[in-house]
Amino acid sequence: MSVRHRLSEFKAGMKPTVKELKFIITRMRKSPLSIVGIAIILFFIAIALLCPILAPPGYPSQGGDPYKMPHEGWTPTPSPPSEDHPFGTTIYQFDIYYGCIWGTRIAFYVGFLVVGISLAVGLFLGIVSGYYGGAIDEILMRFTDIIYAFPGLIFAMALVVAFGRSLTSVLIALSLVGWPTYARVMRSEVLRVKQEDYVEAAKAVGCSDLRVIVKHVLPNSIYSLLIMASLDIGGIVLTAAALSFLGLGSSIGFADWGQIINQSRDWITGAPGNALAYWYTFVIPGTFIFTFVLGWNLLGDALRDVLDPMIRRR
Amino acid sequence: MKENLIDIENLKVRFYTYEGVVKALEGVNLSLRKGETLGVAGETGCGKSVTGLSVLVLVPPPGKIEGGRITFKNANKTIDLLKQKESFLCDIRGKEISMIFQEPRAALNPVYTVETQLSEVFLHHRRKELIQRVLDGLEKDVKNGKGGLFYGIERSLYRRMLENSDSLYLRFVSKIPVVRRYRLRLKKEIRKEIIRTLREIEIADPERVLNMYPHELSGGMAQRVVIAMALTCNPTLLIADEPTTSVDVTIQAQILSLIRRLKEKFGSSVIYITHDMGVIAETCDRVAIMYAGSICEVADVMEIFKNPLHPYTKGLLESIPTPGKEFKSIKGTVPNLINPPKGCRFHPRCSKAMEICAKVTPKMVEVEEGHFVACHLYRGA
Amino acid sequence: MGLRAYLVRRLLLLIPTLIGVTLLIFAVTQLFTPIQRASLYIRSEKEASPENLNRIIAKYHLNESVLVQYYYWITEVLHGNLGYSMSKHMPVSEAILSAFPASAELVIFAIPLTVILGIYLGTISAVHRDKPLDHATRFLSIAGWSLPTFWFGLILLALFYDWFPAGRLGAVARNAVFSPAFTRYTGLNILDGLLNAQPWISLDALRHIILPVITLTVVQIALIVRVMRSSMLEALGKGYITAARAKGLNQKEVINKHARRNALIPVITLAGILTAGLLTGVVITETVFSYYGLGYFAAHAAMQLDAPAVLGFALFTGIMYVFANLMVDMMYAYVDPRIRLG
Repeated sequence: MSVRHRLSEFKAGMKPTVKELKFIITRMRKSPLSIVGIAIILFFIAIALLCPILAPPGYPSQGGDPYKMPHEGWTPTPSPPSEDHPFGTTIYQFDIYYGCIWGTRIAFYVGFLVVGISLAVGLFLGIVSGYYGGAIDEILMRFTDIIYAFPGLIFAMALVVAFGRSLTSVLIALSLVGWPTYARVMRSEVLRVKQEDYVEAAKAVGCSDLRVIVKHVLPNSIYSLLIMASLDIGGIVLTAAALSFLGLGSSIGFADWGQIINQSRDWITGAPGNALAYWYTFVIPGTFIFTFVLGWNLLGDALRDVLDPMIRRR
Repeated sequence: MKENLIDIENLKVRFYTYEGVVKALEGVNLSLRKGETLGVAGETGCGKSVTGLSVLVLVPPPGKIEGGRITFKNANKTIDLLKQKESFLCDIRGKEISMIFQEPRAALNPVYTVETQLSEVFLHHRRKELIQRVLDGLEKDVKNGKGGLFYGIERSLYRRMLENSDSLYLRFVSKIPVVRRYRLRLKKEIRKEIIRTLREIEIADPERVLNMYPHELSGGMAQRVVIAMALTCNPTLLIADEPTTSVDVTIQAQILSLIRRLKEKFGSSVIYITHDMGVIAETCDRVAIMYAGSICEVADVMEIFKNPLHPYTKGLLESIPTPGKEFKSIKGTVPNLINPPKGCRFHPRCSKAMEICAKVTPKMVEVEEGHFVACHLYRGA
Repeated sequence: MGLRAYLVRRLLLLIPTLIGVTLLIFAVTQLFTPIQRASLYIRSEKEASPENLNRIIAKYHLNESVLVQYYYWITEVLHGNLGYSMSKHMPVSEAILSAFPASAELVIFAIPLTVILGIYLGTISAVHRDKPLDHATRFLSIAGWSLPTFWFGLILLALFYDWFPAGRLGAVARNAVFSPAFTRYTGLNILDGLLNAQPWISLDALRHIILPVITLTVVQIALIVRVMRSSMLEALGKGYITAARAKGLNQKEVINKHARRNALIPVITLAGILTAGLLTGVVITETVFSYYGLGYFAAHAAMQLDAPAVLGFALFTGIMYVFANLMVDMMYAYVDPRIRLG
C-alpha cells in the first residue's frame, strides 16, 4: 500500500477518536473547575521551566547541583521575608524562595516518575493477569489484595524505614504502593474486552495476542487510566511531602517542598507568645504543595466528570 | 357530544442533550373525551411516552416543555396544567391523574417493600380519610370500655394529625421509642386498604406480596402492583405507558382485561400508549397515530382499520405480520430528531410525497366526522 | 439464606487475607540484616547487647530459610511479641495498646462527622447539578482533599491555639486523669470523664479534640461528597423516581425517601477506604497536634528509624483495616435487600 493510502486510512480510522477528543475539550472548557485546574498546572509548568531564571543556582562553581539550596551562614534561627530572601529563610539560612522554585521541578519529577512506574508496572501485570488468567491471575489478585490491605502512607513508611532515608527510597516505596490500583483497572478492562466478539474474531483471523491487546484493549481503557493518573499525581506529591515531613525523604538542604517544612519543624510552634512568628517557614512551602495538588485534582475530577458517562456508555 | 377531559394544544417538548437539541414533540394536538380509551400508537422514539409524561408535567431533564397548553377539565374547574404550581400538581398526580409505567420493576424502588411503596400513595392522598377512620375506631373502643391511658394518648395524637400531619410536635413524638407505636394503628388501616386494592387487582395472596421486595416479584405481579399504585385513588385519568410490552403474552391478556374491568368499574378515562396495533384494536375506542413527534391521524378504532388515510397509518397497518400475506415494511428509518426533516416529517419515507410536503408542515384537518388527518393529500370536509 | 451464605463466605475469606498481611510485613522485615531483625524479638532494653543478639539469631533461626523464619516470627507475633521499641523504651505491643484509645477517640468523632456532612453536601451537589452551588461544593471538597494534612493542621493550630490548644488534655486535667482518684475505664478521655462524674475533664478533652477532628474531616470529606454526588445523580435518573413523582410526591420527599436510600448503598462501601484514609491521616494529624495516639507513636518511631515500632504499627493497622472492610461488607449486605435475599 502506498504511503498516501496508508495516511488516509489512518486519518479515517482516527476520525471517531478526533471527534471524541473535540467533544471532551468542549465539555472541559465549560467546566469552571477544569479551567482553574489547567491554569494552575500551566502556571507550575511555567515556573518549572523558568527555574534557572527565577532563582539562579547558588553553587555553580561546585559542579552546580541546582537542588542544593543556597545558604549564607549557619544561623539556626529562621529569618523573615526580606529583600534578599523574598520568602524568608529556614534553619541554617536556607533560602525558602529558592527551595520553592526548584522544588517545583522536584514535584513534577516525583509525581511523573512514580505515576509512570506504577502505571507501567500495573499496566503490564494487569494485562498479563487478565489476558492469561488462571494461576497467574489468582496469585496476582491475592497480591494486590494484600497490598490494598494497607493504607498507603503507612506501608510506604515501613518501606522507607527499611530502605533507609533518601529520596530514592521514597520513590521506590511509593511506586510499590501505587501499582496495584493500575493493575486492577487494566485487568478488569482486559476481562471486559476479552468477552467482546471482535476479539474472538480477531483471534480467528490469526491476530497475535499482542496485536489484540494493543489494538483493542489499550484504546478502550485509556480514559480510565488518564483519570486515575492525573488524580494520582496529586496524591503522590502529598504522600511524598508527608514522608518528607516525617523526616523520611530527602536530606536537609535539598530543594523539596516537604523537606523545607521538615527542616522548620522545631520552629513551627513559633516563639513564646507569638505562634505565628515563623509562619513563612511552613505556610509558604505548604501553599505551593496545596496549589500544585489542587491543580491536578481539579483536572482529574473534571476529566472524570466528562469521561465517566462516556465510559459507561460503552 | 361528550365533554373533553384533556385538551392538548400545540405541545412542544425539547431535550437539551450533549449531542444537540432533540425536538421531541413539535406541536402535538390531542383531545381525550370523558370515559373513553384513547390509544396513542407509533414506533419507538416517536414521542408517545413524552406526551404521556407531559400530561403529568413530569418530563425528566434534560427535557423541557417549551410551549403549548394542556387543559384539564375536572369537577367544575378547567385548568391549564402547564401553568400550575408544583404543589398543586403534586396534589393531582396519583389522585386525579395517574400513570402506569412500561417497565414495572424499574418503576418500583428496589430497597422498599411493596407495602411501603403502596402506602405512600395512601399517606399522600387519602390521609385524612384514613386518620378519621382510625379515630372513629378509637372512639368506638373507648365507648366499649376499652379505655386506658394509652388510648387517650393515641386519641389526642390522632386528633392532632387530623389538623396538621407535619407539625413539629408530631415529628418529635415519632422519634420517641415507645410512644411512636401510635403510628401502628394508621399502618394497620392502610394495610387493610392495600390488601383490598390488591385483591381487586386479582393478586391471589396479598399478605405475602406485601412483604416482598420488587426484585422478588414476577413481571406480571410487578405490573399489577404498579397498576394498584395508580388506581388507589380512583383517578379520573389513567395514562398507561406500554403496560404490557415487557410481560409475557399470557400475562398481557390478563392485564388488558384487568384494565378494562377496572375502567368499567371506576369510570376512568384512559390514554393507552403502545406500539402494538392489535392491543389498540382490542382495548381502545379512538386512536391517535404518532410519528416523529407529531400526530398524523386520529379516528375511531374501527374507522382507522377500515379506512386509514395517512400514508404512515397505511404502512403501519400493512406491516402487521399476517400469515399468508407477504411481509411488508415501511422503507427508510425513523429520522434523527436533532435535525428532523423539514415540512412533514414523514415525507422522506412517503411513497406519495409531493413537493409541498418537504416545505410546509401539514395541519390537522377533519376529513370526516371524528376522523382527522395531517397530510397534504387531504383537504378538510 | 443468601445472607448467611454470604457472611460465611466473607468470614472464610478473612483468614487468607490476614495471613497475607503478615506475609507482606514479613517480606519487609527481610529487607533488614539478621542483626537488625533480631531487634524484633527482644522484650526489653537489656536484651539488646551484642552477645544476646547472636543468641537470638540462633534461637529464631534468622540465618536460615525464609519459611523457617516466618514460622518463628509468626509464632512470636501470635504471642503478642512485636519486639521492642528503642524510641519509646517499651515493648511495641504495649506501646500500641496504650496509644490506641487516643486514636480511637479521634476516629470515633471523625467518622460520623465526615460521613454525615459528606452525604449532606453530596446530596446538595447532585440536586443542584451544574449550578453554582454544585461547583462551589465540589471545589471546596476537592480543595480539602488537596490539602497537605500537616499544613492545614499547623495553620489551624497556629490560628486557634488559644482556644483549642494542642495535646490531649490541659496540664490540670492531665494531672487529674493520671491521679489515683481517677479510674481510666476506657482510655477515651471524654467518656472517662463522664464515667468518673467529672464532666469538666470531658470538656477539656473535647476542647483539645476539636481541631484534630476538623483537620481529619476536611481532608477526607471530598471522598464522600464525590461518590455521594455521582450515586445520587445515578439514582435520580432511575425509573422509580419518575414513578414516585407520578404518585404525587414532592421534590423533597423524592430526594429524601427514594433517591437517597439507593444512593447511600455505594457510599457504604466507601467507609472502608475512609478508614484507610483516617488511619493515614491520624499519623500526621496527631504529630502536628502533639496528640499522643497511635499515629504520633508511629510518626516519631519513623523519624527515629525505629524499625520494630514502625513494622508493628503497620501490622496492627493492616489487621484493623481488614476488619474494617469486613464490617463494611456486612453492612452492605444488610442494607441492600438484593444481596440479603439472594
